Amino acid sequence: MIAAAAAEGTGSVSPAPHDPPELVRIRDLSVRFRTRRGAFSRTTDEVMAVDGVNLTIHQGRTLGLVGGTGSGKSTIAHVVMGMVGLTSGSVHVAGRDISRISGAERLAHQRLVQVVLQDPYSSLNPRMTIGDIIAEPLTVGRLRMDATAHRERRSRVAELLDVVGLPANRAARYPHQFSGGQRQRIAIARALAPRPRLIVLDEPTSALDVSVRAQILTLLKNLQDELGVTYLVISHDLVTVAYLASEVAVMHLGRIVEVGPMASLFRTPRHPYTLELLASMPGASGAFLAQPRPSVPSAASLPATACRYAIRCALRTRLGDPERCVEADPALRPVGSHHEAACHFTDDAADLAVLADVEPTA
Amino acid sequence: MTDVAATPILEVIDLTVSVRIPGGRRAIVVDNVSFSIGAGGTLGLVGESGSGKTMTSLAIMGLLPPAAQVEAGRILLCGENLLTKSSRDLQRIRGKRIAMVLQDPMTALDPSFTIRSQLSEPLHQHRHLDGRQLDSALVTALEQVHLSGAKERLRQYPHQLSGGMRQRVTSAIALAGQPELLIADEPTTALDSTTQARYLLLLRELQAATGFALLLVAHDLMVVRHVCERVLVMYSSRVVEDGQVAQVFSRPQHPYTRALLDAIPTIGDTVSLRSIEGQAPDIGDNLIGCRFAPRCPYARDACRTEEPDLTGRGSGHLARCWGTEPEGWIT
Amino acid sequence: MAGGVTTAHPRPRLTIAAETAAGPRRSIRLMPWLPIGVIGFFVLVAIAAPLLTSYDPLKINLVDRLHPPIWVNGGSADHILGSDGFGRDELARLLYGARVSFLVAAFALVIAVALGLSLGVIAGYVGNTVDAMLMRLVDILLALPTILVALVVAVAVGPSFQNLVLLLGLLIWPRIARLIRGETIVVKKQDYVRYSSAIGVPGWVVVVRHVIPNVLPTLLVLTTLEIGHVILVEASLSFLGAGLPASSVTWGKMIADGRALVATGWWIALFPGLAITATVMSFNSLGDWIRDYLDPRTRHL
Repeated sequence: MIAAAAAEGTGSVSPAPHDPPELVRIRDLSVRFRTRRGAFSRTTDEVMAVDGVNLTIHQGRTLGLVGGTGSGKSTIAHVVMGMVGLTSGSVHVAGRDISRISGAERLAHQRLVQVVLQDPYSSLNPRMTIGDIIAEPLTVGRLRMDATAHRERRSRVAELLDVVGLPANRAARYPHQFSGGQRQRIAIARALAPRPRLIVLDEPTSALDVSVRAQILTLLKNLQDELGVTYLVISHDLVTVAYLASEVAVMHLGRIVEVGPMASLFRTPRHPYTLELLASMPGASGAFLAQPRPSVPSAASLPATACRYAIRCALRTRLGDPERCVEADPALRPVGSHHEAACHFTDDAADLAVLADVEPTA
Repeated sequence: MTDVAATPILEVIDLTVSVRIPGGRRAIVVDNVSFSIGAGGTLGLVGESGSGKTMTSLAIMGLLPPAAQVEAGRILLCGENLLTKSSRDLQRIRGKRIAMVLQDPMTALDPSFTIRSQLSEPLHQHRHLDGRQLDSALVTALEQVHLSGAKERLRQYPHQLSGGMRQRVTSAIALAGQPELLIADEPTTALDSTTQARYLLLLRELQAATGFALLLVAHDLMVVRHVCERVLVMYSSRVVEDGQVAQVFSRPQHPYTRALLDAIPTIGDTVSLRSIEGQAPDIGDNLIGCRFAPRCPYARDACRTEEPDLTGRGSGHLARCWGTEPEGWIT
Repeated sequence: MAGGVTTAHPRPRLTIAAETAAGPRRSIRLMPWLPIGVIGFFVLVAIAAPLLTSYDPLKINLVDRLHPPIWVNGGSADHILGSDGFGRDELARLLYGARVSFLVAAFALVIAVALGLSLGVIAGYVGNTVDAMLMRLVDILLALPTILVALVVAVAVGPSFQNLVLLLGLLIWPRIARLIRGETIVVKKQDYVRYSSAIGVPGWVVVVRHVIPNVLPTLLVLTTLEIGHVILVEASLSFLGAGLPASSVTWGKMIADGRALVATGWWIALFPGLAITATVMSFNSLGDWIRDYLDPRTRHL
C-alpha cells in the first residue's frame, strides 16, 4: 500500500506489515523550471512544476498519478527516468539515489527503470527497424556487436514481440508500417527488453483510439501479472489510471492533493479536485460540473497563502467562500485507511461526492 | 426528436470517397455513407482511425486532401449540392454557413494575432459589424463560450491561453458567422479529461441555445453520448449502425458497437473492461463478406461469404449485421 | 430523418495493397526519369569522352576555326557541333568539359557536405555557446558574395584544380550547415532521441544512430540542389577568367571563349550554355522530387 508522508510531517502513514518491499521512494521532491518571459526578455519566470511531493511505490504494485495539464505528473515521470534534474528532495529507486548518478551508472539505471512515452509516432525512430528499436536498451553504448551478442539479441527481440502480441517475423519492418496501437506495443516491448523492475507509463494510451486503448491496457495488466513488474502510470484520464493502479495519487499544480487506494478514491473522494476528475469521466452525469465555481478570472487576485485550488473550487463557492481557503494552503492529512487529502473541508467534499456519481454504462 | 418538415440542413447521400494508396491504386475509404441532419439536429459520427469518419467530414467541408476524391454521392446543404460548387463558392460557404471546430486548438489559431483580431474577422466578414457593435459582439461572443474577463482575453495572444480556453475561442470564432451547421471534428481529443468534459457541456449548451445543426466526429462513443441525439457508427469505411443515441447505447445492434461499449471500463471495486481483439482491415484490403467478421465473436459462415446491407431494426434504428436481423442468431 | 437506405451499388473490386518486407513500396512509374536521364547521359558521355571523339579538346588548329555545326550551311561531319575560334572541336570540348565540371562539383561537394553535416549536427545537438559561435561563423561566411570572394582568392592563390575545389567547398558548406542545424534541432526534440538520451546512450552514439539518419533526407535534397549551384559558380569563375588554368577545358571557359564571337560563332557559347542549363535544371528537379518523395514517409496518416 502507498505510504505518503505529509510535507509538514503530520499524519505519516506507516506501511502495513504485509506490504512488499519499497522499490521507489520519493521524498520532498521539488522541480523548478525557468522560462524566459519573452524572446528578448531577460526576466525569467519560475515555475514550481513539482512542489514537495512524497511518494512510495512498492514492488509489483502500480501507482497511478493523475492530474490535468500542468499538474507536474509528467515531470515526476521524467525525474524518475532521469530525463530531468530535480531541484531538491530525493528519489531513490531500488535503494539508489538517482539524482546523483553518473554516466556509467546511468546504464545500470536504465536496466532498472524504463519508460513508455505518450506519442507512439515520435517515440520510435522512423529510420530504424523495429527490431533495432526494441533492442536499443540492450545495445546502449555500442554501435556494433559480435556474432553471439547479435544472435542473442535477435532471439530476445522475437521473444519480446511475441510477449506484446506482435508477429515475431516483423522485426525487420519499419515503424510507419504499423498502426498507432501496434507502435505502442513496440514501445512496450522496448521497455521490457532489459527486464526492468519499474516501468514508467507516461500517458500510455492517450494518443490512441478508445478501441485500441482497451487492448493496450489489457496487455499492460497481463504483463504485470506475468512478469511482476512495477508500474508508475501517469495520465490525465482517471479511467486509465484506475484500471491499472491499486493506489492513486491526484496531483494539482505540482502538489499531491489526494492519495490512497483506488477504491477509496472512487467511493469516498475527499478533495474537490478529485471530485472534478470523477465528474469528468465518460459516464458522469455532468451535475457536478454544472456547479458554480469562483468567478475570479486571474490568479493574481488571491493571496499567496491561499489554497492552490481555491481559484477553481466548486466546494469553496458552495460553502460560501470560507476564509480558511484563502488563509492557508491545506496540507495532506489522513481521511481514512491509507487515504489522505489536502483540503480544509474534506467532510463536506464527501457530501458533494453524490453529485459526481458515475452512471452505470448501458 | 420529431422530424422537421423542411429540407434537412445537411444531407449526405451515398457518399463514396477513394484515396490513392502506395502502389498507385485507389482504395475506398468512405463507402456509400448516407445520413441527414435536420435544423437543430445533432449527429455523432463515431469510428476508430481509418474508419472513414474524418474523410467524411472533410468531404462535407470540401477539404479533402489531393490524394482523395469523391467517387460518388451527393452532399446537400439545404438542398444545394456542395460537390458541384466551385471552390470560390465553397470558400464563401465555409465560415458563414458551415463552420468547423477542429482537433488541435494549438494550431487552429494564428499565433501572431490577438484574440480580438481573430475573432473580429468573422464578425466583420459575415455579419458586417463595425465599431461599437463589433466591440459588444466580441464581448458577447466570449461570454457565450464562458470565457471570463473578456477585455483581458481579447488583448491576449493564443500562446497565453490554455488548451481549453483556446478551444473555446475557436468555437466562438466558428459560431461568429452564425452558421447553420457546425462540424466538430474530434474537438476534445487534445484536451485533458476535465477540460474535455467541460467543453462537451459547453457544446451541448451552445447547440441548445443557438440551434445550429451539429455533426460531432469522434473516436469515443461516450463523447457523443451527452451531446448528440443520434449516432452513426462507422467501421472500415462503412456505416455499421445508425440510430438514436439512447437506443444504440441500450440495445446496440452491431457487434462492433457492442464491443465499443464493452471496451468502456466500468468502475466498481475494481475496474474491468473487455477489449476487442485484432484490428480493422487495412485500407484497400480486399475482404469478402462482413468487414468486421474476422474480429466478431458472433461470426458465422454467412458473415464471411456475403456482406450484409444496412437494414432496419425498428424506429429508425439501422444496422449492418446478419446476426442481429429479425431472424438472426444474436440476441 | 433516418440515415441510409439499403443500397444496391456494386462494390468496386479493389486490389490489395501488399506490404513489403522492408521499407516502403516504390512506384517505378512515378520516378523522375527525365532529370535522371539527362544527368545520367552527361555523366556517361563525360566518362566515355575519349571513346566518343578522337579530337584533342585543347589542340589549337587555326585552319579549322569557326566551322559551324553540321546542320548549318557550311558545316561538315568533321565538326558535328562546329569548331571554336581556335579551331578546337566543339563536341570534344563539350565532352571533356563535362568531365571537369562534374569532377569539380563532386569534390567541392564532398568537402562542403563533410563540413556542413558535421558542423551543422554539432551545432544543433550540442547547442548553447558552440551553436552560437558556429552560427555566427556561418552568418559571416554567408554574407560574403560568393563569386567575388572566389575571384579574389582564385587570383591570389593561383588557378589549380585543388584550389578551386577547396574554395568552392569552403564557400558552400555554410548553407548546408545552417539547414542541417535546423533539422538537427527538430530531430533532437523527438521522443525517440529523448528516450535514447534518457537510457544513457552516449551523445555521439545518439547522433550517429538517431540524428544523422533522420537529417539525411534533408541533406540529400540540399546536395542535389547545391550541385547545380556549384556548377554555376564554377562556370562563372571560368567565365571571368578565374577558374582553372588554361590547360583545362570547362563549360564556363567555353562560354567565355564564345562571348566575343557571338555574332560569327554563335554555337561556341550556345552549346555549353545549354548543357549547363540542362544539368542544373535536372539537378534542381531531381532535388525537388526527392523532397516530395521523402515527405509522406515522415508524415503519418
